[in-house]
Amino acid sequence: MATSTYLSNPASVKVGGVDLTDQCTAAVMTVVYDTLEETTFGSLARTYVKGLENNTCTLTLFNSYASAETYVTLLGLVGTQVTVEIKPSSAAISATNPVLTLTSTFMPNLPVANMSLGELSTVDIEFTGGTFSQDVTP
Amino acid sequence: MTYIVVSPRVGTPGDVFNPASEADAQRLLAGGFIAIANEVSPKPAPAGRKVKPAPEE
Repeated sequence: MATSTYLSNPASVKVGGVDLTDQCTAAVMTVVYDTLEETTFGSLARTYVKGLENNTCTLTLFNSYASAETYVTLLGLVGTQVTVEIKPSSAAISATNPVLTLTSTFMPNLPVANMSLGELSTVDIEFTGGTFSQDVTP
Repeated sequence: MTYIVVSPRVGTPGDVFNPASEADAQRLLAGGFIAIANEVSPKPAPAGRKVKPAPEE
C-alpha cells in the first residue's frame, strides 16, 4: 500500500538554461550504469557490478515555432552537450524536493516536425549520458 | 558585452543576463531569449525654452 503519493507536476524543467515547463508534458530522467558481468567458474548464478554511468532523459514537449519557444530552443542544442534540470515542486530545495540535474548530457536528435491531423504537435527529446547530480541545499 | 533578459524562460525580463559562455549567449540571442543591452540609453533631448517674440513696434 502506498504510504506517500505525489502529484507528478514538476515546478520546472530546464533545458540548456531555458525554462520549458509550460511546454512539457512528460519527463523521465533515469540513472543508469553499464552492467558488467563478474560471474566466475563455480558460480551458481550470474552476478554483475556497475560500470560507467550512462544516464538517460526523455522529455515530451509541445512544439512551437514561435520566437523563444520550443523549436528555436532545441535547434540550438541538438548535437551538443547540454544541462537538463528538473525540480519536482515549487517548495524550497531540500532532501524531499531535490533539483535533479544531468550535466553535459548529449542531445543526438531533434524531430523538427511531428504533425498529425487535428492534434497538437509534440516532440520527444532524448538525452544520453552526462553526469547525474541532485542538489538538496536550500 | 552586456545582455538583458527578454524572455521569461531564461530569467526576469529586463534583468542583466550572464551567459555561461559566448556560444551560449549567441544561441540565446538567435532564439530571441536575450538581447544586447544598449550601451547608451536613448534619452529624449530636452525641450527648447519657449521665447515669446517681442512685439513689433
